[in-house]
Amino acid sequence: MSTDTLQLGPEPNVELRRDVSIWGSFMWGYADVGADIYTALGLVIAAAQGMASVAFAIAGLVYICIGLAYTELASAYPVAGGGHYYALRGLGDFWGFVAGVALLLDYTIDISLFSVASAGYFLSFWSKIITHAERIKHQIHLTSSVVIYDWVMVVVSLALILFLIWLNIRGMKESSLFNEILGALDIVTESTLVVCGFVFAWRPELISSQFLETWHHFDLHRFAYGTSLGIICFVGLESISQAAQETRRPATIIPRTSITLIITVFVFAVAFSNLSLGVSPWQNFETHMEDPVAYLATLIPFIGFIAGPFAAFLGMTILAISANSGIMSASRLTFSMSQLKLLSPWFDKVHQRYRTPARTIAFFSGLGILFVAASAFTPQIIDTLGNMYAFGATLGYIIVFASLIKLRFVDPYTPRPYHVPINFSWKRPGQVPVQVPILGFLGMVGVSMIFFFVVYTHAIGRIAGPAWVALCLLYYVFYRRSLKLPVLGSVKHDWEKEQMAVLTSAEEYDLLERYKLALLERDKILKKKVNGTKI
Amino acid sequence: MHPTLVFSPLGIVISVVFVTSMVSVLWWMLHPPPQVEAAVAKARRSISAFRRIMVTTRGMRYDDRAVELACRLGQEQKSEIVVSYIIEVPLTLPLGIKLDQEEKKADEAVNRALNIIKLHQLSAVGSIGRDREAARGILRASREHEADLLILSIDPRKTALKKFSGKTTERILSEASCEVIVDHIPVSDLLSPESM
Repeated sequence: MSTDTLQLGPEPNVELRRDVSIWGSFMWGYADVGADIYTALGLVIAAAQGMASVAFAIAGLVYICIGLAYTELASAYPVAGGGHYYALRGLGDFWGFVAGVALLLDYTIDISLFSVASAGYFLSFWSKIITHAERIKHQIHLTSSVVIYDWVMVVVSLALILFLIWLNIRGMKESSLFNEILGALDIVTESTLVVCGFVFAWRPELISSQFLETWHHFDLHRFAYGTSLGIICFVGLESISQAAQETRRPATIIPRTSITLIITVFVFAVAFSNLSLGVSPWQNFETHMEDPVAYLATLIPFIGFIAGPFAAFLGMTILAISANSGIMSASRLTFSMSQLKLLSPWFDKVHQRYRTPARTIAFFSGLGILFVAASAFTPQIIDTLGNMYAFGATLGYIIVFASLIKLRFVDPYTPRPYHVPINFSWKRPGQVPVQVPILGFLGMVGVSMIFFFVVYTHAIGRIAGPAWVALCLLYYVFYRRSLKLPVLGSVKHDWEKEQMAVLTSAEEYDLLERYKLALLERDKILKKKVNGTKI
Repeated sequence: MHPTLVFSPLGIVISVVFVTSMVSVLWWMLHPPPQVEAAVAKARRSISAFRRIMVTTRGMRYDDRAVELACRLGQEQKSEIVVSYIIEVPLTLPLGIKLDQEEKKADEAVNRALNIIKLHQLSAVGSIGRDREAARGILRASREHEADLLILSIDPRKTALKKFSGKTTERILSEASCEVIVDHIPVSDLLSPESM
């Protein structure tokens, strides 16, 4: 691959401001991942039946590997961009672009999917509290074959996306506060459901009998399908790394928020699945796939009578903040990509007054609006959107794992406030030793298997996902050629200077000094080598 | 369907574990270590830069103490400790002459120092050299071993009796290419019964 030199850099005196606090950073991630349980719980139980808890646990293990990889990379490279930036640094511009567009697909679908799902919960809540009647879908027949299946839900979804665009353009502080309040409310409520459920309604004999029954009639295909759905339940953890450039003291804060998020989401997923199977037979959840958490809440004594509408309200809020998190991640990812000459500088503009990447927010939220509008013509909007949801994420995660491994070799000097555990030290003669991440390899294999399964089983995802990547690659070829930059090669960067600038801007002085020392050590070794060669 | 009230001891235990784990992990997350100022970080990390520390010895008690000091300074960053003993050979003798007694003394001094370093589980290198002048030998050894820090211990009895010319120390301080720490303990400490 060839390498060209190019002077890069953001506009002078215009940069993303560091407004996101420790709770805000946690909530950006939680908003994205925490919402998935509201949709995935019913799907996984329906597929894996009495072994749903095991399916969640297995999916959770792969998710933990992904989470730990992101924790290491986001704390070592606290810049906007997340997965695409790590791929660019580790594997070069081309793979940085592929990872970027894969994650962009995920975020754009995130905006659409969770806005629609939130609208669905809102309408469910509305029908329970205001109209006291079953919600009906209002159809519009444009022609005999072209039908908008639920125009009310579409209108509410679009209104929500427009509101979120406004909120994000106003700046991180405002939208962080929005996330922080609603996320905290969700954690308290979910915890209340778990505690009350286990204390007042959980029957261990029911869960064990269901497990044994499923075990005796074990269906590998169904179980594997359930496990893949379980993985979808954990998508969105990278939001924390997307907000890294706006997080205060990122190298200190991100490992904490990220590890807390991994534990919290894993505990919630396992707790909800165990609670569900210990309270009601799995068959009942199969008939409540649209509102499994609300159904579960109605089965809990003392709180069940208000739990239905409240769970609908809660679903609406957490899904809304998930959509908001998608806007944030998409806009910040494109901002980063445009700064690194992977996308047009049109995306690079920062709003002079609010200092937010307003164009990218508007552009990709606009794409989200288009996705909602297009899927409105299919009978199951959520199913259509959900089909593509995992494709982008799993493709991006595979590249992130490859980047984690490669960066351990090519950049062992950058201090890592957090290391993915289970490594073996490879001492290379005349070079700095490398910590080879065994868990990184295992995680990559796990995610690759899930990616294969997603492509194999999801009819829309296997066409729309690769089509999105192919379209973006066409744009990439055109754009890079117009700038006379290599398509497969990489633009030369002074990563050391940039890393020092990032650590200085993040006020991570301790890491900065560690980085300088590591570079000095490397230079000493290099000098020794050169002298040795001369002799 | 009406909710059924069921109490399960295991369910209660799970609830307690759930609440405890959630509260603990959130508390941990919300209590990060304090921020380190730029100047503080620089000062702190400048000590971490000592990857190879050289300490001189003549086998005296204050030399052993200097070795211990070197180990403590290198503990956090797992520095390599180089113990250097320079045998001064007078100009009247050839440099390579056999000096059994002096060499034996050097071996004993270096071995004792290496034993101290072993207790700290740090990697150690013993070095016995010869030179016409101790200062020149120490400077050469520090360059050869690429020491980041040189620790010199000086005889407190000489300074107490004002016999200390300081020639060796002065030359090392002015010519050393690395940081130098001069370790001088009060003579009262050396003569106290505890130190005997």
